[in-house]
Amino acid sequence: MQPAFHVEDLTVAYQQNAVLWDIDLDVPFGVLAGIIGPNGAGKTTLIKAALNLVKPLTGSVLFAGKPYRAMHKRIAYVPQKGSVDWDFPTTVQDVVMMGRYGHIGWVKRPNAEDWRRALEALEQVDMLPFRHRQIAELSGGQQQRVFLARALIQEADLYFMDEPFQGVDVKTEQALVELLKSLKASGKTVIVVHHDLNTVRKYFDWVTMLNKKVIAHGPVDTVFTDANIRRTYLSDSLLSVERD
Amino acid sequence: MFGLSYTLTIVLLGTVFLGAISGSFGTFIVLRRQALVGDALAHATLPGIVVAFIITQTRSLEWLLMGAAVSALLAMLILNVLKHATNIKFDAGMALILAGFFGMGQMLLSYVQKTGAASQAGLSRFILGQAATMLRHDVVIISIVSTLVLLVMLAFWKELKLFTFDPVFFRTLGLSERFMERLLTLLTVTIVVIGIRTVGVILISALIIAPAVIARQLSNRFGLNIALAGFTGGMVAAVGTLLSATRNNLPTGPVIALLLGVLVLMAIAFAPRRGLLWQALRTRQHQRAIIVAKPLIHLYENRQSRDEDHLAYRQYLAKGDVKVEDGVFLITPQGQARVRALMGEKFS
Amino acid sequence: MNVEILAVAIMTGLATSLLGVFLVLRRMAMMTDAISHTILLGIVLAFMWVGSLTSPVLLVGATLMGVMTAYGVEVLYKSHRIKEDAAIGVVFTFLFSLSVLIITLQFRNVHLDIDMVLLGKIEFTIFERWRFLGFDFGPRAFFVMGFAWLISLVFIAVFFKELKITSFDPALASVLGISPVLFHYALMTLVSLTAVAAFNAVGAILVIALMIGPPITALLVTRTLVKTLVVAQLIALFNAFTGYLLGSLLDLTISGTMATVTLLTFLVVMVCAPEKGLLGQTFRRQRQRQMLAIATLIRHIANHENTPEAADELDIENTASHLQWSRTFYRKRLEKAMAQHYLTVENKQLTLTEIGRHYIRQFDDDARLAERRDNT
Repeated sequence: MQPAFHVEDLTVAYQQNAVLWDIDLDVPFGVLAGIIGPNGAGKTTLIKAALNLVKPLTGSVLFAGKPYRAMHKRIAYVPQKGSVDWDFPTTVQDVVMMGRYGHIGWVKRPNAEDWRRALEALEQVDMLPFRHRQIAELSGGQQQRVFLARALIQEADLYFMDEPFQGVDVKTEQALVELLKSLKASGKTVIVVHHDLNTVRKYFDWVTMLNKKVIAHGPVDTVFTDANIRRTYLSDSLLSVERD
Repeated sequence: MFGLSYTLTIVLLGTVFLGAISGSFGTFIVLRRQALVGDALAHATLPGIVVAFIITQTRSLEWLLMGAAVSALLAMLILNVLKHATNIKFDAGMALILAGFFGMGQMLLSYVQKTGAASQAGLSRFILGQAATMLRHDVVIISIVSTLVLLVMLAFWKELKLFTFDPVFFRTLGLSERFMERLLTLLTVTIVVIGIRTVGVILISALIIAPAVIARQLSNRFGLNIALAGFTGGMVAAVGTLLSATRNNLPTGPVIALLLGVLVLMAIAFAPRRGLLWQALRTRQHQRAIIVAKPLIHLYENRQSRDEDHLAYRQYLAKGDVKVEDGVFLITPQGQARVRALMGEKFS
Repeated sequence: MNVEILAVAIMTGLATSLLGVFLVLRRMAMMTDAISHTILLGIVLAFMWVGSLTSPVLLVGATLMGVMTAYGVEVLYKSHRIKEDAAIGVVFTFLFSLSVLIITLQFRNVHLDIDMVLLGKIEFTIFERWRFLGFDFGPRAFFVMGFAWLISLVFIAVFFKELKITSFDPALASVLGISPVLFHYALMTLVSLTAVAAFNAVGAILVIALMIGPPITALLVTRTLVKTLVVAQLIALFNAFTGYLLGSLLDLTISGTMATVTLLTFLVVMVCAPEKGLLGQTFRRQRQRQMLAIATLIRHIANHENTPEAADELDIENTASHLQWSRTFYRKRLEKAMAQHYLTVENKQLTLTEIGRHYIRQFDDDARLAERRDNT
């Protein structure tokens, strides 16, 4: 079977500096995968290249064997919380509805069915009572729940999330993880950029360790070892990749 | 002097002083990302000029400039409240202050016109400036003020440098951020105020921003940047003034601004190291090289070759980047060095 | 009172402020500054070509120049050689000075003088009439502005959700197949068109006040995009009406007075807005400080009750000094806390009630929430 997410020969460079270098990796269907690595390792760039938001120098990305263009309706994206203006004059339910915009199509307005789904997604993340709040009036955890609800109503098969636990309290983090696990249980594939090494084993069953190159990737049990962590996080590890 | 008429010499002195000081001080403004604050403050001087005229009923430059300074400081005060005490988007607030104050200036100007003061004609010249009518008295004011600004800049050199680069660290050293902010505001207002008489409220921005941008393209060092910006500002002001003197009625401010604009574009495109042209060529070369060297990079990352790639290694075998041992392709130290060179220096 | 001038003023205010909402939300207010200056060059070049000031070619040429300005600024700052604000400053002074030079060199005696285009005169717009089939419909400026307003209105109505998502979260928009670049340039085109249309009436600089003022004022009091748009239109209407009234009563230039009123309206709302205003915030901060003090008092009791030193720590006379509060401050907080039934006094000892215990639990939860929000 084709992997859910397949990257081959991917190199991304800004001017003369490589940000991602010769990335090859596969993520199988139905896993909850973590992408971990130090700051500046290219985690966000990897997701952005996958979603066609930055143009790679070489390489290709396939989703279930097909290119992004053919699959983009089956892919959901949760950006970093800091990437939007939380002061924007819009309500919680409005933001969640944005996830449906791709399905609704140009010019058309959300119909009753869209609203039903939006409210359902809000219910799933326990945010229904807050649906009329302006988004600035939420805590960090609540904002992240809204973003997750927005991804849920995209009804995708593959979810990309960029640091969903950043600035979130412990309780919300647990709730979010439970949700991600139930997504996985229903056959979805979830790929999460993550930075807390302590929780990797607890949350994920698949892990990609990245520091501009793929240092290691595979099932957490076999790949997430002390040796690999050291190679990922110590900058001179890049040199130690040298052979012989 | 050098066969120039007395009037032209006066004008030349004035614009060169102004160009040099606004160019060098502009470096601080541009590095602090306050380029448009200068623009907003310049527009905000208009109501002050008119009010000063209404009160004093004279066109004496000192009073008008005093009025200009007061209203620019008032605008800055409102901007500070906006920034520190509300969630209003700062750029939007700045745009409104800029245009709102300017509108107020026009409103007051129409009041002056109505009262029939014949001398009001001199007021609207602040909008586009009028270097050609500069008097010796004006140049004396400009040069004294410029020298004062320069002395303050030199006196607070290291503080200004650190504050511009890293205001948070500046504060952790126990130095007063607020004092620096006020000092910089005061100097900005001073430069704007002495500039509007010559190049006007709209184009003074060019004299503040452009020399700094040009200098940045040519040098990576702070002190040299400021010196270069001052030099560029002064030189361009001189050339612009002389050019505009060759034809009757050619306004000095726009000529200077136009020259600066052309120089900025040239500096951004062609400057030796930071120029876009060279940069683009280098980037293209480098990216091509990565694409071409793909098989070698694979070998570097994966230790051994995949069988189907054998043909691709022929050229590297010839160069000595790749060797064959027991029927397996291996990368040589020379090949490794080649790949690492492609990775870019910031990589490891 | 001249109804025609008022109508032109109102229509100008409505058309400009509609697009302004999106400019503010996309942090492009200063780009407007650049565009409004550089369309002058477009007008000048188009005028050189067709030789008339009323030809529609001027509108097209100037609009193109506005879009090119936006593009030029983007190219410059995307080169990473120059920050966005400096790029704006360089581009607009360059193109603006070019147009001033062309005007002074070529058209010294023509009906295109700089004061006119820079400052605009709403009072003069009524002399240019729109005649059709021999019938005089009214000032041409009114219909030009009305046209600009209508196009913007239709554009916003039709592409409302696309505009919203590309303004709020461009990355998500592009993942969903809605191109942020397309909407950026569509918006820039409309902004340029509107700025050109408003040129004769209010000039290059005041149009910025009319575009930006009503939206940032509306954003202080609204929480959804539709409301922001509606309130911004109402504020623009108010500003135009008040500006016209004051201007004509006091015999001042109407465009300048409109811009002044726009600024003053904003400043008044900024001070007085119920939640986001300065007064509201000061008031809230003060209340928070008082609530914090009461919470401190309650926590002090909770920490020391049933401990050996309780008799001293919770003595009604001594507590002020233990908390290092002044006596008046202490008395006021104590009275407030007792009025709310958070605590009672038994034998000169402070004692917590159930309400007080519940209050402090709630307070701690809220504080934790607020802290989380601050950290993010």
